Amino acid sequence: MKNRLELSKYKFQGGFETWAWFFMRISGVVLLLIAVVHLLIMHVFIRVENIQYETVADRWTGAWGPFWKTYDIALLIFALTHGFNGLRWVVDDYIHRAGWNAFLKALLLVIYLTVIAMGAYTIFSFTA
Amino acid sequence: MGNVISAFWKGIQYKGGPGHYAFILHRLTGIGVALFLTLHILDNFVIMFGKEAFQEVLHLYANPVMRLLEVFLIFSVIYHAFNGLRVIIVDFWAPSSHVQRTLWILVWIVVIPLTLIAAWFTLAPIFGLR
Repeated sequence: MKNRLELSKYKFQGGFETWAWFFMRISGVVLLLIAVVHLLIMHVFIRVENIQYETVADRWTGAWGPFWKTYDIALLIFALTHGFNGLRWVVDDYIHRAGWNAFLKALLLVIYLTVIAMGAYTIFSFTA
Repeated sequence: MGNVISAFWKGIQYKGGPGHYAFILHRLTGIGVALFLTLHILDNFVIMFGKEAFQEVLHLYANPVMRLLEVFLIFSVIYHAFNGLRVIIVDFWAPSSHVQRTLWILVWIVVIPLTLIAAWFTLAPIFGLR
């Protein structure tokens, strides 16, 4: 009980960093489901040595195509946003020189946007 | 550069104990998975260049060295997922902070068997097994 009273002193105030912290928890739970299931399908059920061009093509263009495209888009956005926000925190923890800190975070943002665009382009515009 | 190294070194030397080692491993596995994720989206992008180009990329992943790295990847994802769950539980349910060491042991009880199972499926073909 003591703990709960102590924690109740801290009110949720919003702001970018609070939402980033909150997003990491929410996306973490989502990824625990969808990233681990993705890994299980690819490594245990299909197995890496059996993955061919057709495996991916059929998944995206078959009867369940819309489902898998939605699944992969969700995986792309949640995993990349979670991962790059994590990298941003790592930069803030270890790179204290203002110039380098800003440069590296800007670089992360550019890579994040580029990679998310490439991934979304692949998923949306793929036709077998 | 010296500043970065000293900040990093301070981070490693801080208190120690299960919570601290859990944190260091969470960081390392997180960075590793984020790097692979970027590579993984680039390799998938190759499918836009047609079947032959994509098959060649897939072929790279069949290499024994890549297989070993895959086991590291699988371990990293599973550890990061379940240790992350521990962090969330401790964050949102204050009484659990008293049992965070027990939770850390529970994380390993889940992570080790799952990693071993995935490692078997990933490595067995190299030795002609399965």
